[in-house]
Amino acid sequence: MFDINGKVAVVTGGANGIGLATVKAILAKGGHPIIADYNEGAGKREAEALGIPFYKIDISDEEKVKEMFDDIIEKNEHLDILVNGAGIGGNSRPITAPDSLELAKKSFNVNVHGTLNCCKYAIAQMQKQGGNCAVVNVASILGVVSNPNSIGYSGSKHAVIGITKSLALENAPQNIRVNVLCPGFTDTAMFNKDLYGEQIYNYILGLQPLSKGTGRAANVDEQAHAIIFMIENSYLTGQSIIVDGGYTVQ
Amino acid sequence: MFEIKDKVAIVTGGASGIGLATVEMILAKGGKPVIADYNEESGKKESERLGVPFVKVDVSCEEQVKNVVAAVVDMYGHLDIMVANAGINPIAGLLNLTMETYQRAVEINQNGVLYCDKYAIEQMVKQGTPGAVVNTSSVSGLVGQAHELAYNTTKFAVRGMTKSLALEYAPNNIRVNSIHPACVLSNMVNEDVIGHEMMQQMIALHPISAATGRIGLPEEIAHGIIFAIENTFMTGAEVVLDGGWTVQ
Ligand SMILES: NC(=O)c1ccc[n+]([C@@H]2O[C@H](COP(=O)([O-])OP(=O)(O)OC[C@H]3O[C@@H](n4cnc5c(N)ncnc54)[C@H](O)[C@@H]3O)[C@@H](O)[C@H]2O)c1
Ligand SMILES: NC(=O)c1ccc[n+]([C@@H]2O[C@H](COP(=O)([O-])OP(=O)(O)OC[C@H]3O[C@@H](n4cnc5c(N)ncnc54)[C@H](O)[C@@H]3O)[C@@H](O)[C@H]2O)c1
Repeated sequence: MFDINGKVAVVTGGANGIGLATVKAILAKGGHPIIADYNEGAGKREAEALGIPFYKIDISDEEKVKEMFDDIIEKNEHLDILVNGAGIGGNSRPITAPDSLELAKKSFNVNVHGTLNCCKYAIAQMQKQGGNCAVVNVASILGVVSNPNSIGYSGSKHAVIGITKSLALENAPQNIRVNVLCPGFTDTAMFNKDLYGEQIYNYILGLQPLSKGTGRAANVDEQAHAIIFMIENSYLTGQSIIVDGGYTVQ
Repeated sequence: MFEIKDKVAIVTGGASGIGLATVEMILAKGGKPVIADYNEESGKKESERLGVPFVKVDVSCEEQVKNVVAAVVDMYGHLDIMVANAGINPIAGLLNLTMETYQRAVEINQNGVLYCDKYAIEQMVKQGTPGAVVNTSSVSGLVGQAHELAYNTTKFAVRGMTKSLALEYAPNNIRVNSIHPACVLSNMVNEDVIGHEMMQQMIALHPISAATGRIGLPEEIAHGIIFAIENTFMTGAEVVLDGGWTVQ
């Protein structure tokens, strides 16, 4: 098993939702998580409350991502875990809509290029220190199946799964494992009753078989639990773990 | 999280390898595992060593599986976890696979898992409590392998029944997931039994082995089984523990 205790972990999107739950879970296991997020208000507040570092970063800005990792590595001397939790939803348009490509590019910029930027500079350091590290990306059920009007989100999340597999094979000889979480509908800032309205929210829950048994969407701790599993399991690489209450099984 | 503490679990094939490692982990988490296996000798030995009950069962016999579930419910009053893990791998291709061997694989690997799932789920529904079922398939339930006809066929079946049952029992909050290990060290798979050259060939099939120099360990698979038991929003899913084998 890969022991999280004492390990340095960068969690992008760590200021909110699934990322924040992962930060807390890593902390509980004795790891040293660092929050990297472009939401300064929430990032600073959570980091202060937990007594851990915060970096304000837009992951789609490669130059800034490089600077951030340089600084983290200088201060911590090593980097063992990267969780690419930052992502954006929405931006849904039919392809013929005037702004469809512009919006799709927005999704790709954060979800794909942002993930790649972080992978590049984190893995460079992981290789340098001799490997035995873990990377977890976050895709979605829409990286496995799809919806109409989702070229941006679904397209970008499919790409994250492909990237994960290639990076896993590329870095296996250094024992750097790369896996991906595919969450189903999870109560967060990105998906909740207020945002969607009760009727649509309940309709979406109806698509998630286990929600019939639990009466609820997934929660962030259930997603973080899977991320921790992927970090810890020393025989797991290139895989998608789908925590979706059976959504993609149908 | 589905807390394993105080939960009652039946682990078939629990006398050896992946099943035994799972029994040990459930025990370490404060759960109440029961070893269910047809190997009486190692079953009794491990049961005494760990201080957990052993029940002798051939999972290919429906009546015996039914009785085991009833006996465990008699013992503890409830059943919360089923790990349907017992299995065999008769290596043979189309023209040298006897129908007898094929039937035996179907009876153990496919029907055996079905019986275990059936009587466990029946009990869980009766209790009206959440439950977790984990079925051991294999990478051979995901991709094809020459000369493993019976194994491929039955392990694909396990993956299929997992998904059907996951959907059927989601409204009862009974989760059903499958585990897909690649090569794992066991009594049958180790250098002493298969020889150095064969072991090296096996190791080479796993990308991660380029770094670790070994195949999987029972503990690594048991860790995946524990995860599938504990995660309260995963159902119908495949946990593939293969060092990157099926990614290529
Ligand atoms: N919530 C769901 O139902 C759901 C379902 C499937 C997948 N996901 C994925 O899970 C991941 C986490 O999302 P969440 O649900 O926790 O939502 P969230 O909105 O609560 O958290 C996302 C975090 O990422 C940060 N972020 C966004 N863009 C960024 C950028 N360019 N640079 C730095 N930080 C940025 C945000 O500030 C926020 O803190 C996302 O990749 C999302 O696509 C969520
Ligand atoms: N070892 C591997 O490389 C590997 C790879 C993929 C999948 N698997 C699967 O993992 C599971 C466990 O295998 P393992 O590696 O721990 O092997 P193992 O041989 O060490 O353990 C299997 C156990 O199942 C028991 N068993 C077999 N048939 C039975 C029956 N009819 N009734 C009751 N008990 C029975 C055996 O007595 C033994 O204790 C099997 O389903 C196997 O197909 C193993």
